[in-house]
Amino acid sequence: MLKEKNLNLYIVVGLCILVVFLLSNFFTTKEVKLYFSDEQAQYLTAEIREVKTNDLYENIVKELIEGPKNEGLEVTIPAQTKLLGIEVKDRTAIVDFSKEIQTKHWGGSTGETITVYSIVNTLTALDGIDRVQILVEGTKVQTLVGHLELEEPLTFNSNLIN
Amino acid sequence: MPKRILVLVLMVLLITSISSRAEADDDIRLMINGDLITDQLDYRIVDNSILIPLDILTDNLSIKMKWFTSINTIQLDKEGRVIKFRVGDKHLQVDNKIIKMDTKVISINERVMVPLKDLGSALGLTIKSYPKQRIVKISEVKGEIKDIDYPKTEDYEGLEFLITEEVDYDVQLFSNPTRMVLDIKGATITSNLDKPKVDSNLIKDYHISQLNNNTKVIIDLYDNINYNIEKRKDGDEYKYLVKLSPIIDSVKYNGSKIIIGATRPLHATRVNYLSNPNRVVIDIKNAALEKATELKIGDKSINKVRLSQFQTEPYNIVRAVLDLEGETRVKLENNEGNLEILPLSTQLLGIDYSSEEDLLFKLSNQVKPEVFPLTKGDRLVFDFPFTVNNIKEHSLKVDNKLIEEIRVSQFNKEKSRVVVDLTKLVPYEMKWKGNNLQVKLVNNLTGVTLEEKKLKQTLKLSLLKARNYKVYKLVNPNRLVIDIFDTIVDLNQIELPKANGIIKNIRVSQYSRDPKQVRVALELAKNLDFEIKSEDTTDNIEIDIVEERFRSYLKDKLIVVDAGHGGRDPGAIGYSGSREKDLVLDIAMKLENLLENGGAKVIMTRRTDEYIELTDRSKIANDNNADIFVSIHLNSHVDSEHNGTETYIRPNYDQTNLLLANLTQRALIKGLGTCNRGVKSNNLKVLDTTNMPAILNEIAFLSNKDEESLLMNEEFREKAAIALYKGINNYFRLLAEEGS
Repeated sequence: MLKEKNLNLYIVVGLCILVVFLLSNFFTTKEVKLYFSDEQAQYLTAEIREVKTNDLYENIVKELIEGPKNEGLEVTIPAQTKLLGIEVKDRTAIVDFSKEIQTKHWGGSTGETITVYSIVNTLTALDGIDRVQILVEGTKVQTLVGHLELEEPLTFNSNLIN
Repeated sequence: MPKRILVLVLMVLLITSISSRAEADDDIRLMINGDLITDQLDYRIVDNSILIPLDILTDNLSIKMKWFTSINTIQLDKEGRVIKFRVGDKHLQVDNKIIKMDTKVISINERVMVPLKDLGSALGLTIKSYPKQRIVKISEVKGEIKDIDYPKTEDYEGLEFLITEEVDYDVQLFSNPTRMVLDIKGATITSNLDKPKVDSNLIKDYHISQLNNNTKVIIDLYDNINYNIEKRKDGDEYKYLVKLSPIIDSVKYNGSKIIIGATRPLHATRVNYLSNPNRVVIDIKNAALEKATELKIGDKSINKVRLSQFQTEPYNIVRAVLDLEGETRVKLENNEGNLEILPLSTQLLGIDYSSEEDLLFKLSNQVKPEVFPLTKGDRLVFDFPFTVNNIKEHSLKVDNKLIEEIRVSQFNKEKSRVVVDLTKLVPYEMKWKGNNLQVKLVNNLTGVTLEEKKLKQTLKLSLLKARNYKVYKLVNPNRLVIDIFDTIVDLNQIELPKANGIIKNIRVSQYSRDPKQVRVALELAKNLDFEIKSEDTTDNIEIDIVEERFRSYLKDKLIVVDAGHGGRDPGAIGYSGSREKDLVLDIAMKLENLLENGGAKVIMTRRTDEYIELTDRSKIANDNNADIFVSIHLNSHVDSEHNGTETYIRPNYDQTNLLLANLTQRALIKGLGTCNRGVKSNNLKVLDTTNMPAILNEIAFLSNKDEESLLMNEEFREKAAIALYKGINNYFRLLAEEGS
């Protein structure tokens, strides 16, 4: 019996430790760079933001969809877009968006580049991600709105950083 | 005043009293030259004639009287006029003429009584009787010269005197100096007589003076003339017209012409041709003939000439009748005062119009036609004077490029007329070839036009006939010169286009007449290039004038033009709803047109609103081995403020690809005035999948309100296409220069 009690105690303690660990994880944040369109829509400019470290990648993409806090920067992803999933495999982030990223997109090479590289540059700026593969509704697309190649994973584009 | 002697006064009762009445019921008053002589005139009436004492006349008038008692003859001399009569006789001798009076001269109580009316008239006296007042007036003055006129027409010339009464006059002609003296008896001159000036070949001058009751007119003449005095009643007054005419005094034939000589130049004439037999009647107006003349000539054109005074009233005409041989015509010329008659027998034998550029008038001898170019109806009228038309047809249908029809007619007896109906009135040149007159309808420049096209100006010169030409440039100032050979221009007939833009001035000139050369010179704003589009010999010269940098380097280049999006992919949607796919297609088609004009071969990825896969677009370029690939897009951004132009190339671009991007980007910025967003490299699908230099031009932002409205304007899209053309052409130019 005593042995059972000890076991239960261990379980409780373990759970407590786990909860504390999880809670501590839940409440901890990480400083990340979110790339948004600059005022001229020529370059991407990073906005530094604290993002909760639980589901860090998902949080980052959601923050990107929400748009910049800084008044000098501009939205890069259509607001109706939903993040359907994100996973990192072999240092490649596979980001799956709902169809609104295409259907609600404003078009244009510039518009498209800004959208795609806002995502790609933000994610590849993180440790552990070198490439980003964007999916729409779970599948690879040729381009988002007709210009930029999305079939292969994309890497950080330093040309767009001022 | 002569001294007064009172005598008896007699009076004749002119109207009713027929019987002779020795004694008067009443006394008669007599007035001479306005003075009362007596109020009891001693008179007798015999056979309705009144007789008065001769001594009353001799005492009161300047009359010299001689009495030859042996022959019982009385002689009166009044200012040189001598009158003789005898008592008891009816006859008067006035100078050398005998006049029979109504009644005899009688003698009563040793007093000689003379018939007043007959003797008074012979003495040049005016006698008026006033039966009611019982007055008889005797006057030496008959009338007054009120006016002098100098009429001159082609029929006559002379001096005309307006006199209140009918008068007697004497005319005498003198030589050295040649003058004519006109004595007008019993006429005084009005106090304010206007003497007209003469402008005459006959009268040098004239003078008019009054002596006692007579007026003397001295007319100074250049030479002998013929005169003729015409009296005319004009109301209560009289006009005396002294008409003067030159005298024809010689007719000669010198082997080629008849020369009619006169004392003074002969002028106005009338010519009339008669047939059966052929004659010409020449009326020489206002001429007098010394004597009728006939001159035998007997050459091939004139047989003989006869001259006669055709008429003297109302004015002199001398008529010359020439008996002609065949269809001879004559030409009259005034030469050194003589009238010359030249026989001409020119015949228009035929017209040769087999050559398109000239006409040949075949004539029997040279006669210069009068030519009238008529703008209205585009015709040339040739009048051949003294020429007989021997061409049977009235109308010759020609119908070559220049001449439509030739019409021939005998315009009148002397003139043959040829009317040449042209398609367009052109300058002409005439040249004699023997007796044939060659009329060269000189080729001319009929039109100059300048068309401004997108990248060039096209100069077009229209000629009536194909000609050779030369085109070259001159500097300082920059000029383009086109010399057209064997061509004439009539500057009045062409309208020059307005110079504009790169062409500052257009001039056309007849550079030289011999040889005929027209020069068209264009003053250029800068050194421009030209391209001759027409053949070496042409009637339509066409030259493209292009700025050096717009000269096409596109010949045989293969260019794939890709209008972005299409079909179910509308591309960006504009601020007000315009669609990228529609606007880019329009720009692409415009570019296609320009490139093809520049000599390039163009393949379009789409010409309609259809969806084409991005990879298919590249495939078209790759499969055709295109030289370049140009994708035309309009940009968009979530923020409508963004505007400008940018050009994309693939990230692994080479230098030629970059050159193409830079040149088109630069041309777009310059041509459209948009904000330069630069050349960017990016992994755009169509750029990454093509094998040749490829560009994607984002012309402007459709999401921007202002740029959208520009893009919706066709002119802006045209400018965009031109800018792309310039950039592309410049790219191939640089490649060509690098290669050479």
